[in-house]
Amino acid sequence: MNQQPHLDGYLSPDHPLSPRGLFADLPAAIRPMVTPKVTTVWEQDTATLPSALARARKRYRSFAEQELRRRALPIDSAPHLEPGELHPSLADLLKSAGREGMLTDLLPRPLGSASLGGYRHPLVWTQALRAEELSRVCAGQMLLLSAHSLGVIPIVFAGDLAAMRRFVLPAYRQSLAGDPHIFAFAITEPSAGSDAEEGHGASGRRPGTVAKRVNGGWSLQGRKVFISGGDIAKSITVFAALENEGIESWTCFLVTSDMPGFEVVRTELKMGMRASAAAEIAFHDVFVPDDHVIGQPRQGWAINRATLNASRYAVAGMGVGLAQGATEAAIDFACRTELAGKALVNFQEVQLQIADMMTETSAIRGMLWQAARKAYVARQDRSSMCKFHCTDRAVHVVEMALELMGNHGTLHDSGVEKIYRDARLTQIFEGTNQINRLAVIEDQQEQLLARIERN
Amino acid sequence: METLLSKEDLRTALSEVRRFARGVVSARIEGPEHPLPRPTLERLLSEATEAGFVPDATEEATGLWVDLDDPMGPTLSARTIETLAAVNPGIAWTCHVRAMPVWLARRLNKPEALEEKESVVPLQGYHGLGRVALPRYLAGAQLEGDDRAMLRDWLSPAQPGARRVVHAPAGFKAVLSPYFDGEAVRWIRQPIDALDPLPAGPTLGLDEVDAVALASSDAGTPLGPDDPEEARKIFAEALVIQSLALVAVGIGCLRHAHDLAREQARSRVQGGQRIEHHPAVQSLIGSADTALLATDALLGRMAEGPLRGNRIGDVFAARAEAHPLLCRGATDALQVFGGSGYMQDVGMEKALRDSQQLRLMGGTPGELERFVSEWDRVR
Repeated sequence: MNQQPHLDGYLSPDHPLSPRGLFADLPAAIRPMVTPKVTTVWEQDTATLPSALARARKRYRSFAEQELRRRALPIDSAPHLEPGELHPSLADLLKSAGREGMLTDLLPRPLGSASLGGYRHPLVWTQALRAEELSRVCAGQMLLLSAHSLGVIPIVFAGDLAAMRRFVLPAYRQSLAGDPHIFAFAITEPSAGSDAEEGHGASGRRPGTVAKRVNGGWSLQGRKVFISGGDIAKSITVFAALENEGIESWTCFLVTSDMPGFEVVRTELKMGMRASAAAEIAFHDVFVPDDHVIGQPRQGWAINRATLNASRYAVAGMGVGLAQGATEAAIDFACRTELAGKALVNFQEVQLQIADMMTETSAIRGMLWQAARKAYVARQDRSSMCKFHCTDRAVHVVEMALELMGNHGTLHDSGVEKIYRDARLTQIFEGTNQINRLAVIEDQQEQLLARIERN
Repeated sequence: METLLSKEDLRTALSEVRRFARGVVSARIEGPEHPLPRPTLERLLSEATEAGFVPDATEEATGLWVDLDDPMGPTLSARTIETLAAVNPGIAWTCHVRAMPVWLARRLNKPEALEEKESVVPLQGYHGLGRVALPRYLAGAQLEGDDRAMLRDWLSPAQPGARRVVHAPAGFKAVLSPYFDGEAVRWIRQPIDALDPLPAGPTLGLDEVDAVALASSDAGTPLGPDDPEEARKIFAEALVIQSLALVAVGIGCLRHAHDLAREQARSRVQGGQRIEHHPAVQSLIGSADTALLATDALLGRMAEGPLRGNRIGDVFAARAEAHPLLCRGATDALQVFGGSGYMQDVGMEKALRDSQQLRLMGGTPGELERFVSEWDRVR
């Protein structure tokens, strides 16, 4: 009885028992309630967004497809370059991203390039959508374009309008003119990774990067490691303790790469996300004038924590995008690969795997959007929950995609082995997922203590 | 079956392998971020052959997969691979790849199969594990419906452009391929040129090993066997051996990752104390510990007794269980390092990539489970 094409084990949409046809015979008043339009999940999800964010999502997708897709695999397997060198293809990407407003969309017009309409909604939601759409195509290039915004956020959260005028606006204008001015965010030190991301650990630590008071400013001494984009950044928000004080004295300094004593020591050979370098940078008595202090001295720890609370939503968005990219690659593989004359998608075990991947991805997207929708205040517990759960589940989805493709998934051309390597970083940076679990508890401390007292 | 190898023999043999792995192999590895250059890999293989760990074509050759009628034989080979893999999984896999043609030529009683010194035995079909057709065939059950077409297409894909992928050091001259002729899986020796080999580019893991994509072709010299029952046994045995090798490499790989993570936890201080005292880190290392313990027991079970193809159901079930555990252990061990674990010079990311690649080769856990279900049903 099947007339139209159908997958093995299914009825065609025009079969008498297919819901599609049956719903059409229901009363006119009921029909719209039970008959959805045939659309993709992406279209369905986009339709739930406020119009400004729906437009932004479409723009991010279009940019990713046009600019990132063709570069993704070649850049991933390109030779490792010396510190400060940038692959010509990525230099072109930065220029075009600058002109397209993709390096300045953290702030609304006229300060940046984000639409005022989008700014009616929480900034972290927009940033999460952006991270998702770019990561879906290439998380490495996403990081190259987005770690830059992470370097700007401390200036925003310091509420330092003078610093915004002096540092951010000229840099944004430069980027919009096609001469990218990249920022970076530097907290991690060689002797401490997670200590910079968690208060209890930080309280017992001796800071490694120290600012000493000198005439007219500060002299910075020390090293930072794993700084995304630190090799190409012209401006870096660097967190350093004041001399002879603990991490509670952390202060945010705007360091420019042309300051004498600033050095890019090396860039790491990484497992994935290779389009964006992780740099080790050193400060050899770098003189930083007083007007390069972001906010007030000793406000650095607060600025750092506020920055991480905001940026963890974006990392969750990366997870969603990576899961989506892996799911699409696996579906594509299942539709084009035949075994015994049938496309794999006809086999039930393959259908089950695809359904699981789609659902897991949809679930983490739902969690993230639900949390980000009202995140006018970036709550630590919510952002950390989203960060660790979305990225853990994303890696699981990518593993499912690899499993579906079997040994073909091991090949670079499959695209999914790259997604796996890229995705693994999201469980580590912006605080390991263990640290993020503890951050949830830290934020719930008062309620938990109250329950102890009640008992 | 008479036991020729005693437990003492096994211990002695493995301590020799350990000395070779730590003394000879380890010395040639510059760092995890530098895969061994091909000439170095070849030199190591020659040394492993001279040391008697990898068999050559001579009759008196010893080493991997040679004494498999001995109840301790499979254990000795699997633990040899595991020991080598604890130093470098790619080298361990390469030793296995080199030993397989020797085992097959002897098993088929066709020494001429080794006419080309460098051959490979690709056991990976085009995709998956031939669905339910493979367990039905190997169990000697009646083949149904599309089973024959499935087996044929799995081993010799007909889709235009479809290629089987072989994970072996490039440069091999011949392929000893299984093919399904409608009655049984038999073997054919094919010169590499007949298969239009294409480099398949870098792979997720096993950086020392290349991926080569082979076209389908019937050209070559038939190797038999004529007896369909014998053919069934031999193919099952080959799959059992491959499973032992994959799990053994995975365990060696995790052992290395676990030791690195333990050392990191011992030396790294955060929050004012060594991180081995943080419960979060204890959980991660505990996960690697338990994965090691469980997979070690699984490998022991898989390698028990002389090689028998009819144990393939148990062996596949154990492999389906082992690889997810190995990957979990490797990823948790990496997490102990935080950001530095993601960097190539530390070696943890390589261990994770290797573990993931081993999970995907020769049938994934899901495919193995479906095989086991059908095997159990039809036997």
